[in-house]
Amino acid sequence: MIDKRVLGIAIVSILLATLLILTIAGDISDQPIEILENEYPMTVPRGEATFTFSLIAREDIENLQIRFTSLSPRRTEFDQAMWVGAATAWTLDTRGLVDDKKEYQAGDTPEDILANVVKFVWFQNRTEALGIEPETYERTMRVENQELQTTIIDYSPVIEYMSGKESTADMPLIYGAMINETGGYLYLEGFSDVIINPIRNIKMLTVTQSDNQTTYIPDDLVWEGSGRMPLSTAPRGVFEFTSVKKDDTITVIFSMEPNLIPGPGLLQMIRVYVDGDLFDVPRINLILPPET
Amino acid sequence: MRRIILSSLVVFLFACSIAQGEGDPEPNIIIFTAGDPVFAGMLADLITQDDRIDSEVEVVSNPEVIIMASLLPNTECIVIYSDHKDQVNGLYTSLSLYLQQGGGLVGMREVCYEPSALELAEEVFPVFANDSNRNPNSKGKRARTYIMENQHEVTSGLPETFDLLSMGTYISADDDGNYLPVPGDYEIVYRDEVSNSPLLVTHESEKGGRSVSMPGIWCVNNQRVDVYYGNLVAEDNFVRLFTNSVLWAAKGSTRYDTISTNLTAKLENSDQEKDELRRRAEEADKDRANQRLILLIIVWGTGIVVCVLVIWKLVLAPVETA
Repeated sequence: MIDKRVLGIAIVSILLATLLILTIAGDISDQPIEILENEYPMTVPRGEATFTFSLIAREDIENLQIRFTSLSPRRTEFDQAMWVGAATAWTLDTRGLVDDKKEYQAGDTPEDILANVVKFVWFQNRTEALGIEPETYERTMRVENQELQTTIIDYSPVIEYMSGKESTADMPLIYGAMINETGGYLYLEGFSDVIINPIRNIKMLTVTQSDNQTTYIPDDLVWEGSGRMPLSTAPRGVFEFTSVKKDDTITVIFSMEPNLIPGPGLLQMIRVYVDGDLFDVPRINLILPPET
Repeated sequence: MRRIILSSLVVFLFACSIAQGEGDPEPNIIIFTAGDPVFAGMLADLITQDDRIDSEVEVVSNPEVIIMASLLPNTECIVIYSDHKDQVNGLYTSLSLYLQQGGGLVGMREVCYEPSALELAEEVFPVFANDSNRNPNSKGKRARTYIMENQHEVTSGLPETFDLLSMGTYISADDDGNYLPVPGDYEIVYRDEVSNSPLLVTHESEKGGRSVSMPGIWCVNNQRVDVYYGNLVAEDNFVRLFTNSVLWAAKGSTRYDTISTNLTAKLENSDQEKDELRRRAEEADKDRANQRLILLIIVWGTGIVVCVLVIWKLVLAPVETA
């Protein structure tokens, strides 16, 4: 016969120890990273603008990649001004359209818009035949009280892999389309980079992994011993980190000259890959044109 | 015996398929003549009729497609004939990158003219032309007389001197309109008899890219005049010069072999690398989970012992003593 006191001690001890363990176990995050900051101007800034993207690793990560892409609207003469105040726009020559009289209605999709762009269709057909697959993202976004079905198709990762990272710099390898409920649409085109024309636009780019910081400034401002790197040597939109330790903080900050974002605005997409897998969904930052 | 022969045949066919790079995409030659696809079609026919060139040939009419073509792994050579600066606007970045990567290019007329093509006429088609010369040749004809400067692969089967009908040529000129050489990394293969300026220039990039510049190929879309492009493509010397140039640029450049060889395997390898990274990440996750489990068991066990001691010594012992 077990002494009741011993039994009581055993039960109370097990309960207390289990409670302690549950407290410790419950404290651990199941996500490999956590996004700390994603700051950007909501409209095309009139003064200097700063963009900040920051995350913290919740576990050791062998390979972490942050990929920035920037897309700008290219308006055709048939589309509607969906982004209020768009003063200027890059125009897509109507020769660049399969059907230059095409109009869109409710129920049409972003893919229908892309299917009317000659160079996109040409490239899509050729790459499909070669077994080259782009990364595709679909999202419904709210802009200016409109619901916009959005599709973004990115060929840059696969082309980079085949031809090298330098091969995609300034190359229009990312395509997008947005369409609202009434058929108003935008066709977008972009590059793998933090911002359009970074060499001309960026004043300073800082990349930090915990205590290691690298700062890039325009080439003509770099002098020996300044500890700064020329902007022309900065990664073009793809920041890769290896052997990231738990609790490492990674930050990408860049500031740019005023008024250098193209008039119609900008769509910036940020993706984080943890050991080759896309983390969560891409962050999409819309920078709308300034109100006129 | 029959079995041995059959086995040998199978091995031979297998070896042949490996040697040819089975699964590699067909090399592609892109031809762009801006607003006039008929001329492009004629140039395409010259290439397809040449037994030495086994590549696919495609005519495109949109300059933006040229940019996209320069990114495809199987683009072996890009041929451009332009007669207006709007047709070559924005092509510099992609074509210079394509050449640096080892691509092949053949450029005619406006792409060699700096005021229209800007850096394209310096770095990709290094003719540095800033002026044009429309004087007739020494025989008083609207033609350029090609004088061989150097023996080259593109001169194969061609005489040392020959005429090709032409409206004129673009030249690098001084203030008086005389030819002014600009030093650079290029080779002059043919010169113009009248102006002494280059009529065919070859250039090779560090990674094996090749470009041929022909500033004197200048014809028009009008069947009633002598300088109609249909008359040009009917000239044997032009056919030889053009196809030699395409052959030298396409088959001698390195980009297609570098990027396209074993493309399918490379693409699969990309997926395998990702899978390997994921596998290692999963293994690391498992290791971490196991370590954590062991740690938790130890903490749990220690917790039980501590609780037993605390209750026994601090709670029960005083009660018993009392």
